[in-house]
Amino acid sequence: MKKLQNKFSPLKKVQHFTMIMVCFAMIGCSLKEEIPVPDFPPSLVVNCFFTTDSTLSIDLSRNDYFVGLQENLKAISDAKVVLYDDDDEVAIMEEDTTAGLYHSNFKPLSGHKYSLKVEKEGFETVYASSVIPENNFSFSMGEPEPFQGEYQKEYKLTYELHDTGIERVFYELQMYYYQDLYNRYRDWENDTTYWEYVGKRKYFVAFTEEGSELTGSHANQYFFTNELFDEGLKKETIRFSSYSFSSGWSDSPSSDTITVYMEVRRLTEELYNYKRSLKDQLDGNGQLFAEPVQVFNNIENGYGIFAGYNKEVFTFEIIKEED
Amino acid sequence: MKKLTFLLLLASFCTKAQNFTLNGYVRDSETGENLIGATLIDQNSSQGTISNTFGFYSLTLPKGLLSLKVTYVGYAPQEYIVDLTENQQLNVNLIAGSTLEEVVVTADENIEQSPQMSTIDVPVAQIKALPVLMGESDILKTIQLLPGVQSGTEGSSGVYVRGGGADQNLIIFDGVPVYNVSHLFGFFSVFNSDAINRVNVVKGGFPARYGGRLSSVIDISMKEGNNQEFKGEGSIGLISSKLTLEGPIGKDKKTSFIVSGRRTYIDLLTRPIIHAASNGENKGGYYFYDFNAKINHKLSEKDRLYLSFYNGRDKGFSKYKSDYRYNLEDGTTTTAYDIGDAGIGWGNNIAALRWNHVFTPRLFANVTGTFSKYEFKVFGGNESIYPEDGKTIHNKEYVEYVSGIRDWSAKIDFDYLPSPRHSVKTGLALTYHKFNPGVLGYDTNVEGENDTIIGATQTRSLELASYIEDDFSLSNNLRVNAGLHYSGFLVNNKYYNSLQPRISVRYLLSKNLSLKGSYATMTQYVHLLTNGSIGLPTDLWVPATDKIAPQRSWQAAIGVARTFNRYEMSVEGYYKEMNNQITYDEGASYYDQSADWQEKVVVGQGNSYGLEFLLQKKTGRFSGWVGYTLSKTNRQYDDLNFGKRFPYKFDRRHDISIVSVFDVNERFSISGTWVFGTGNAVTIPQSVYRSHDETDPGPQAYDYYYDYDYPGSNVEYFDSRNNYRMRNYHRLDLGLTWTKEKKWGTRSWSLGAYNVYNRLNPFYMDVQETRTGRKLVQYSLFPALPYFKYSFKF
Repeated sequence: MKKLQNKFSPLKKVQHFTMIMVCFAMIGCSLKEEIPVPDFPPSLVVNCFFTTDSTLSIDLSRNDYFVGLQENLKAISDAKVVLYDDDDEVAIMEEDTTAGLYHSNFKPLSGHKYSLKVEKEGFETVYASSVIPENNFSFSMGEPEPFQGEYQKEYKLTYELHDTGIERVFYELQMYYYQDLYNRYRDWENDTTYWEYVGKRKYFVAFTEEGSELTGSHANQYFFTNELFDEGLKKETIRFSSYSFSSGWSDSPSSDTITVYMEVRRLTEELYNYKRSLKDQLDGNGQLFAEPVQVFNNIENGYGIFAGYNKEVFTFEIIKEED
Repeated sequence: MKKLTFLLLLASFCTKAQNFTLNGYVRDSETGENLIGATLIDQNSSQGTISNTFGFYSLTLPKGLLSLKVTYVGYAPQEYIVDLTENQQLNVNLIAGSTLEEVVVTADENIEQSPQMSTIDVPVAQIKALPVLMGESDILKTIQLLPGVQSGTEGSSGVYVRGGGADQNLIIFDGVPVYNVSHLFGFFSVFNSDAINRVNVVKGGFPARYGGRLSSVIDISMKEGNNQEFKGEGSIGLISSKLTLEGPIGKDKKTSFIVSGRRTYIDLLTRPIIHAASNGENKGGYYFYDFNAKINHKLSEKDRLYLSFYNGRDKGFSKYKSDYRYNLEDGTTTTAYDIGDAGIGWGNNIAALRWNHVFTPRLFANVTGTFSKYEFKVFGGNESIYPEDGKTIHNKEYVEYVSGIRDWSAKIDFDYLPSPRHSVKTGLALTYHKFNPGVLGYDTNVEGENDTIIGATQTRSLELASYIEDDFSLSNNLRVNAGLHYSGFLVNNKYYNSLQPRISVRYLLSKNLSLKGSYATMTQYVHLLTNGSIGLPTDLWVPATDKIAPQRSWQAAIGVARTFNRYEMSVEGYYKEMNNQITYDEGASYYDQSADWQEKVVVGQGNSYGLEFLLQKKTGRFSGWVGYTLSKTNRQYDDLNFGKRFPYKFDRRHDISIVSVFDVNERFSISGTWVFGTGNAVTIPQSVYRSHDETDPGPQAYDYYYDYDYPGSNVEYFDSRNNYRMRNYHRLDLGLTWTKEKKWGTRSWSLGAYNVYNRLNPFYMDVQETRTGRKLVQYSLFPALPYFKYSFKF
């Protein structure tokens, strides 16, 4: 037996040595070090979507380094913001009580081209321009049809969008509803809850096209172009879940119905590109192996978006049913 | 009358020519192994030829006395006096020379003589002598050290040639394309160097016989097996061991075989640790193996049959079983079990049957039937076992993702050598592809859940290829290799085809100096969809379809080649354009199974240009090479980077490699490798800013959680794709080998280190969230890693 043990003792040494080497190799795989990031110049950030039925306002802020705490990522006050309609100055926008929010009483018109110039000491002056597309579409929809889905009650809704535009045009659909909101206070001594009405809040409804392979891929924003329209017509059935209204039911006990808004937007190409790329970047954040996404930017010497859209809003009712 | 005149003219031509053909095989005298690319020259007429892939040669010369000199790298040259009065057969057996005896050892055809440019033969002995990661000599990692060939990330066996992608290399093993060449996520290649006879790399100026890929051909020939006596060799290394056996079968020595196997034992070493750490509940590990086998049989002097086989697999696995006790409503206690397993596996199966036939001394044919299969699989399952209402419930769920490709191919190739001035090759091939670009399956018996299969769309296609090429001399100084390659691809009722002209020209400026130029167009009918830069087995092989067109390229190169004092030197400049390049769209990932792969990709183009320098010494006590590449590679997609051109991820401005093997004496040798490369291009955000907040924030109510659409999210800004350069890469490897003759054969101890000066080279970059904010962090893979290896040969 001893002879046999001696025979295998070199093998044990090899095993020990091998184990040490493998551990060494594995430790090596976790080597890491911080890399300094090159300086990046500060720039103004302009965010503005504008449409025909509202006054124009912009949100002005600045960028910051990608690393660090992003402490400089804040609103910019005391800037000079000038709005032009086809090169004619139409408004000098004034800062709101909220820092970085600049307003004008000017209501833009469809088909017009608007430009923006923003000056602020310490930053390069930024420029941007965009239009509001013409409202050349017609939209109609049926009544929502409830049915029992795999997990909860769902609705089907058929719509038709007609656009005979020859050029490439861009659309967005949004569904949302408003809900009354309350602040809740608890009186522990008297074991009583108090509710204080504070206003309404907008909630988006996630929906998907019928026939989509994965039922879990409902989205709040739906973008498309007229490329796949059949002779200028898009006819689609969308599906949404009663789950989208769960907070609406629980917090609106007095209401039997919820008014749902279907907003159809005809976007400029830059707004379409911005919205799509922003959504793709945010959706991809944190996903394993997701390819990087560049967000569209139409601000010269800066960042952000300045773009117009036209819209029509339609409504339908969802009737509350007892579960 | 016209017919008679023609016959007379023909007879007159034949009589005047008085040519006869000398043909045969060039082999190793000791092993009988075919010597590919051996040079045979008649010293009287200075006419010559080169042995082909099967060692066959044919030399047609006028009647008379020949002084035939046969040379091959690493072998003593031999001279024969042949009185050529009729067609004759002469099999040449060369004797392997000791590398210490510089006088007798010669190289093969000098680099300046061949019209072929951008081609490098890497001696297998050099591959095996170089220091490597964990003691595993690796063909592809050695090829990465050649100019114009770049590695991917640290440790990866991915090969990127002249700005091309990893899928654009036609890696053929005994005539069969290999789709995935990586073991252990790319740290090792699937080729076992003990079973390899020859490695040839073509980076441009492709001869017409090659097709189907844009950027390179890596032609690897397996050994045929010693037909003289039984031999073996093997090694025991840090993470794996291998053994190769070869020898004749039968007393007539008409048949020989070789078998070679390799296996890692990481799983055997880690299994007890995992088992102990999990209190016996878990098992797990990872291993890879590969197995090569080949048998060849000489049917007659004119016929030979070869059957080769490869099987390789990587497998990572984990299993667990746990039990837990709980109380039932009736107060009793019961036990439930959770059993699960998960794993990942991928591998290739390859088989080739080849038949050589010598129709006439000037006409050689090879018929091949091949099968190649690559499959990747990741799976996970669990079973819950528990009692309920007096019954035992077994709830099972199993998820599996499978992708892969299978090829069946048949081809015939002819070598026709009508005169020393012409070497004609022609052939035809037909390949049936079956692509499986990712199937996700879910099986379950859980109530309320359904079995689901996503993406189970297989694509079948037929690929046709035919070619003709002629290597011919227009004068003593001017030699040309010109040819045409035609290919066609039938998929989804769509037929693509392509006629690809190829030409390489050599002009001798002096005895040892030549000027070369080449032009080649290539078409590739398969694409590789890859995320990131690690050669992950998750990469998908997909075909050209009716929506996604085949990849196409053209490449032009010009250069000079010179031989002096056993050194070969070449300088080449090249320009290459590639069309129909696919890559994942922004935000897309192979993880996303909700869309067909064709909806997740964008199509674009690329270009690459550069200058390559190579100084190489193949023989003698000191051998190796110095390579330098100056290059630039771009990609452009209409739907990426706002349509603007951006650097390819492996765009590498400078790439240097110094490789040397020094045999101090017969018992001791030193080898070393130093590499330097400009850092890889990666996409890193440069800045952050707030996005537009479209939502109506409304009043802020206490005690509520609002789930709305990205209100004022931060946008990560980068001005271009691949806008950031990782740190430059450099590394020194050293190896020492002691060899000793024993009664039973030869044994060697090798000791060395990878990354001797412990350079922390970048593997990948990541952004980390910490209390003090975000940080950009570089991860490195390998510090200085020593290795040892024991090898034997008998």
